[in-house]
Amino acid sequence: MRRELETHAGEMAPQGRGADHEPGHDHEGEFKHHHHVHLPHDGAKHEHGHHLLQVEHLSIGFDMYRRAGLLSSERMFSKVIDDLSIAVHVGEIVAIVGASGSGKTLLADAIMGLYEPNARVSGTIYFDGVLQTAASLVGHRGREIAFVPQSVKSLNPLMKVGRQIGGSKERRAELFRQYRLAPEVEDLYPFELSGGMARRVLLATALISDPRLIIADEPTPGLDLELAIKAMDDFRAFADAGGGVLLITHDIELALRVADRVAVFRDGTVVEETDVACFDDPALLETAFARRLWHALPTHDFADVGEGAR
Amino acid sequence: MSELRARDISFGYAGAPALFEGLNLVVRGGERVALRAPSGFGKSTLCQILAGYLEPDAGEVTLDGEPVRARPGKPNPVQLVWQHPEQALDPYVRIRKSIGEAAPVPGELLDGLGVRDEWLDRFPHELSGGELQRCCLARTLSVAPRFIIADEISTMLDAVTQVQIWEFLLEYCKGRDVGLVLVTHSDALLERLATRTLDLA
Repeated sequence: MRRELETHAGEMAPQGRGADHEPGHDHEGEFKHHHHVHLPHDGAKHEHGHHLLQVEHLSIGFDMYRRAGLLSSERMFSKVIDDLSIAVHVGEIVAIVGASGSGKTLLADAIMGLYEPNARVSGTIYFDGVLQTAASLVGHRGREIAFVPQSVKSLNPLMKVGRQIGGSKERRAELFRQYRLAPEVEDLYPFELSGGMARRVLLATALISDPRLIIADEPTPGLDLELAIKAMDDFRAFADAGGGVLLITHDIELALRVADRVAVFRDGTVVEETDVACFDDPALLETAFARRLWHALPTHDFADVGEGAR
Repeated sequence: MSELRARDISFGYAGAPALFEGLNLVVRGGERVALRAPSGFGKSTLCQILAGYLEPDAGEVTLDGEPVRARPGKPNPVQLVWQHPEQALDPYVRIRKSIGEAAPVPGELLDGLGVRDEWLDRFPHELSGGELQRCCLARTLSVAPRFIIADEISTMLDAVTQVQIWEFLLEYCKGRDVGLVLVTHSDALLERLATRTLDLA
């Protein structure tokens, strides 16, 4: 059973300004629900165009049972995502970096309307300015919102690539040309793909539906540097053509290459959201954890300085 | 000083062309050797051959002249640490049992790797990738290996966890003259870790 996102009507009206969340409406140039407040005269336009995705005050927790005695158990509640807000604008790549196991994958699931039956969810998600429910997010999944998984293991091993990608023959051929995949690849099974081919197949699978937003969950491990950079360039091209990308990754070095903004994730929430340029200098980073990540990078100090240092 | 040697190794998967033929390499105790080759060369395959998980079609891997393998009651002195810790642990076995499989894990090893007590009674899916990799390293080091083969072991970890794990591992190897073979896609990390780089291609 999927749970509906719990929404509060009061949260829908942003700071007393007239928000228009009508579906199918042309949003260009009008105010979009924002969690960062705009100045009155900025025309309500972000430097990267309007909001494609807004996640606001998202919390996800699970009811769990823990053994208490021989025959008894106690119910407990564990919060994995805690009051998280993040936004992706048109033409933008937002990288989510941060501690392993801090709930990044759960965020991706939430945006695609995937909730475990024992999950308790609160908060609001807007896609293209329209308030979403779990059911409407499921409707967008694989259409306007596409997912690029981590590995070829996400493909059905028993289905040939062409059938798996789906879509029309013409659109497939177009994507194959664009990503330099030979037409014969359609007739291969996933295990017959090299790492580089697999990456392009996963991307083609995501793009076949002409999505507006791509969510990529750790798309690079297992790729050598050259292929990983190519993967990043593909996301950049997609964003430059008017899409939005939410890039979930551990690889800060790679993320900094292509992202516009970086959200630093820790303990289930975004502790810092900053322009990619701020990662040039730890003094420009606000939180101790972001600075700690900075110093830990092999290209910087390769040292854990803890959270007292600047 | 101990010496891990691969002599005239040839290997190919069934039905596919050979990945390598007549490959030779030597790693000495205390060295940290990075293997460098393009994607699809077979670096991970070579790692598995070095640690005895795969038999080469020809040639042999020796440690101080003896073939590398586990013997009853004597774990393999060449230990492989895998890229995906969640795939390296039995999902139905609690961590405590999994990491103590080969030998009891000394408390100072758990402390040094930052393995917390409360993790030990959990199942692998209840821990994060970083936590699992710390547990896997505890298991690896519990048998006091002479050589450690590290195949992209920190790719899935955040930068802070990566530093913590490598700091401990480098210190461990230095103190015991343990040799290290490592694979990483990050040149910056390679620069930090390796005492020598082997270009295989």
